[in-house]
Amino acid sequence: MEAEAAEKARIERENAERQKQQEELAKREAEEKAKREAEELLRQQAARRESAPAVKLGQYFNAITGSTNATAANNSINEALTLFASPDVPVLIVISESGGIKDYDKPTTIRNYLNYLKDQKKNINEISNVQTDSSGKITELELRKSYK
Amino acid sequence: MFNNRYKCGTFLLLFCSLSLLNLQAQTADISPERKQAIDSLALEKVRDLSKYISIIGNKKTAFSEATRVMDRAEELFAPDSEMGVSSLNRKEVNYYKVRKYFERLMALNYDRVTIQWYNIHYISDLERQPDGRYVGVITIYQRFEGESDDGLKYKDTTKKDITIYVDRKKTQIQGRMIEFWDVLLGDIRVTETGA
Repeated sequence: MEAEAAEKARIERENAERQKQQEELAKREAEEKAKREAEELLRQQAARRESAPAVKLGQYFNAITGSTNATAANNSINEALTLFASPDVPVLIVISESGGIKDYDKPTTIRNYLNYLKDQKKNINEISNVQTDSSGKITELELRKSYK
Repeated sequence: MFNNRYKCGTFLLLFCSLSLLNLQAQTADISPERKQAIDSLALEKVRDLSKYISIIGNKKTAFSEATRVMDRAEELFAPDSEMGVSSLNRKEVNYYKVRKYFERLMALNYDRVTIQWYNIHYISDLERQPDGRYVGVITIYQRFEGESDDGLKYKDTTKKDITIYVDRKKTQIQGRMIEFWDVLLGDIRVTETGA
């Protein structure tokens, strides 16, 4: 009788142990799945950021100023221009801002600005605002002067 | 007697009017932060010109590129501005319209030309004029070196003063009125020439 009770208790303990292990395994799997999904989401967000016009444009600005010859710079200029609705898209450069008043340099066009980067080999203006049309092409660019 | 009083009154009225104009000019002054930004912008335009001049003078620059750069460099200047050119071989300084100067620079009879500007600084701060325009003077030092394959060499250092004009202007961009600071370079005068 006692032996039967002990056997029953042992089986119950083993079942409880097994159930606990299964629960822990399921929990670990759920945590890993959630981690994988979060990483995937971050990857997608980073990819979206990479492809955003401002990011792409910043990369072209660096490529143009860093070009070691005119051909490479011109290639980068032509690629950068594909992001714009036209080569005559206006570029505004904010030189200072105080009390809600923005002071601008003389407005230019994106074609002239890209050539300016090629000639001067300096990229001191930060991209502060990009306006796009319904097809995602840039229609106006605002830069902010940053004397580093 | 009456005539003297009349003259005195007229003088006082004129003096008061001038004082009022001066006061208006002072109150229209901009904050030190905004002024600093304009000062920096003008210095940057001079540095831009320095780079354009070195590109135009460089014998490795393709003709089409040099022509495009000349157009951009010319845009930095007020109409009819002149550039002074000196030489260790003559006393007088010749002055050319800036476009002519760029064309002569590109056609210089050397195989290698290097031009560097340095020590670029204000010698006369931008000051607001009665017409609202700001005028100042920036000084630069230019090191010129020309060398030919047949051994011809010429080097000099010149000090040049550049008059700077800054004007507040408006333009319409995509239906919006944008006010901007238009920085233009004026005459560039040679003040010293040495080896």
